Amino acid sequence: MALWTLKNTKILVVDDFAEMRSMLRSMLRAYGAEDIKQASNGEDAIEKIENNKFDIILCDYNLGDGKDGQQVLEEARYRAILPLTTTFIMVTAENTSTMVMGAIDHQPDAYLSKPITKTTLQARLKKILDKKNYTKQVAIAFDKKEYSKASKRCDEMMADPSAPRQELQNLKFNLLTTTGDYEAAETLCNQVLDERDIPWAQLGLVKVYFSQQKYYEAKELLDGIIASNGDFVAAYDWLSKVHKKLGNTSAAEEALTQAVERSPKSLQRQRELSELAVINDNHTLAERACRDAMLIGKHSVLRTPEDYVNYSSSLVRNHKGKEALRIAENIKHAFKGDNGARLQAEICKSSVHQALGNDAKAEVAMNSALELYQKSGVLSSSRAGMALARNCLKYGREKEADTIIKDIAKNNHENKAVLEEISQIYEDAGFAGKAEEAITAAIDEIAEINNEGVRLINEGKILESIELFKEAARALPRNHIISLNAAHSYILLMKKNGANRQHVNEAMRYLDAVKDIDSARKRYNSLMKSCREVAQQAGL
Amino acid sequence: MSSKGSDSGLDFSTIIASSVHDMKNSIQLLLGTLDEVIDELPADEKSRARVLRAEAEGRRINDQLIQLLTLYKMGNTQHCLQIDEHCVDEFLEEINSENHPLLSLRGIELTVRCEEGLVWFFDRELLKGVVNNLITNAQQHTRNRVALSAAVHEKKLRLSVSDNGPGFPHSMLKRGDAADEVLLGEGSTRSDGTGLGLYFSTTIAQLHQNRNACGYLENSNEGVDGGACCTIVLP
Repeated sequence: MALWTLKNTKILVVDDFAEMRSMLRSMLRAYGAEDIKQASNGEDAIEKIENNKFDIILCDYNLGDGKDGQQVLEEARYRAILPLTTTFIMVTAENTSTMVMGAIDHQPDAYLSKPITKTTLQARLKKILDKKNYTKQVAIAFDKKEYSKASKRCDEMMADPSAPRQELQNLKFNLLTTTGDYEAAETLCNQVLDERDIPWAQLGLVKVYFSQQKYYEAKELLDGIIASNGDFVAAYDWLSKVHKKLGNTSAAEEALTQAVERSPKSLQRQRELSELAVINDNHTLAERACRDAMLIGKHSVLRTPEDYVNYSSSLVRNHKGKEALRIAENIKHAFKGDNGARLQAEICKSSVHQALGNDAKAEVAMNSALELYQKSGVLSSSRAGMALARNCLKYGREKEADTIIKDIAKNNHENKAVLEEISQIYEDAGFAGKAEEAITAAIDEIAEINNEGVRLINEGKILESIELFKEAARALPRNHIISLNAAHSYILLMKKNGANRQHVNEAMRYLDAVKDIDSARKRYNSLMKSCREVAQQAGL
Repeated sequence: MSSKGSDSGLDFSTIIASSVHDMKNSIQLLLGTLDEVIDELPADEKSRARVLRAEAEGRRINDQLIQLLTLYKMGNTQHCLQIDEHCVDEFLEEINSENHPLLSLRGIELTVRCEEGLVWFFDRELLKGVVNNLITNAQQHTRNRVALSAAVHEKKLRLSVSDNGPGFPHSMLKRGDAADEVLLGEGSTRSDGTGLGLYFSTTIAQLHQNRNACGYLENSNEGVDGGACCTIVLP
């Protein structure tokens, strides 16, 4: 057997402790590694990852102040500066796992717990790199959205008895759910679970049921999983989602509270908890979750101005106006040079001043917001738009309010909650009839686009229908029906002329935009199926 | 005991987490430094034995720390097991390579027998602590041999540590099902220890569960030449 060596391997060692870095480096050198770079904190690590192509990254989870190891991984993946061929290993002090860490989206290739000795490092590293070699090709095809190819590779690999079966089965499951093949995914999970209670397969079954809108079945499974493993963080996340779908928001809040207690450092989880707390009028919890989301976000690339806005609003609800104002002011500094954030900041300031009774100041902020909105023509969210519209109505800028609301209504013509809030906004301002007018106009306009699209399709003018829906989707990016119809047109075109990668990607992109929307789920599933079939026929 | 919700601002589990982090770093540096020293010492250097001894104690501290933390988490009904698929032969080789130098200096031969490529599901760190415990025990009673072996039998992994010493006294030849009994019962341990190691080992075995079956320890005198054999059975 050839001597195992790390020669010609590019390695990055990330640890805030200089002695630890030099120790790891000397261990790696003992196995022939020559090209070893080091970083002492998260920011430094990101910079090095951006400017180099490493084969191995050994990153300590705990990096002192600033980003932690998980945030480094998150940001690197999010910004697509970490190639799938790089092996990312998280070094932890404790015996940790994904199950406990509760990382939702971005998982390292492996966890290594301290102490790492020379001998264990070699043995473990060899094993991890072997595993990576098996899954790499599948992951790359997956990333390029070459699903059939990835799936075929996966099957070929699994035939090899020395291949990491678990890993490959897990990848295969992800492939199947990404392409919407839930029946096959369910079979795979059951196959795995027949042998052993494997967490990813248990949760996999839950995801399948969730996608098929079988919420009661999903809930039953989750109750069982949690009963036998009370610290399975992701199980609480899913239980919360399921409760929410079943309309039980207080149970959803309770489940998510359990998840946050076990794994508090997730931005997404804190955001969701704060949303539930707001729905449930749990103002204390809302304030805490909003604050935590904002604080976690400080070092995360996933942060948004909304995190600040939400915290500010929660402070207003708890009668902490001064603090709320300070947070609103902070948005501009935290997101320097971002015009969308400036708009959000002004809207937020205007709302806080209004709540505090500072009408003059509220009006000034509102005017700045309007100016920014008119310049860009873009509202970053429906929520921001509604906040702005509310103040416009209050301070006599009816025409502007109408424009904003029309835009929101068109983007959300099937979203009951948004439409109800629009009605409320007009009603509060004393224009009871106006909401209906805006909503009807929006529905009519969407219906007109859809009818026109259907007519084009019926006349066999599929390319024209694609153009129509694409144009509409650009103007109304949040409208589900338009997105679904855009995807539908692409699929029809591929059925007629055969599929190609670009068209598959376009269709999947539009479908992706609605994948979490309940009312769109049925059509999403059936369009995903058609898309998968045409892609398979073309060998994509 | 709840780790959350105290208003004093002092949260015990946070204190534990951060001191474990510090201790782990210290152990890392301690073991790493000793490793470097051993590499630099000539093979026949007398102090080598003492450094190896120090290294072994460092590892023991680590094992004990993990045990302590696990028991603490159990008391808190926190999740404490991280079960993954591992290569058993490599796992045993790793344990062998760490224990071998010191044992051979004491004239004890350590052997490993396991089918290549055998995989099983277990918590690597915790099981390593258990096996190290058993090795420490075995080396106190053996004449000159300690054997590690593993195989799958009736859909269960059987991992044994045996020696060629006098074997277990009759009172200890039973399946160790109840961890509490092990801890509280008198004379239930071969060494002069507190029995905490055995308590821990039994507990860890029991925490390994799959499809309604859980692990256990089994003692026999079917070790090398009728010596003691302790087997960890994992579903």
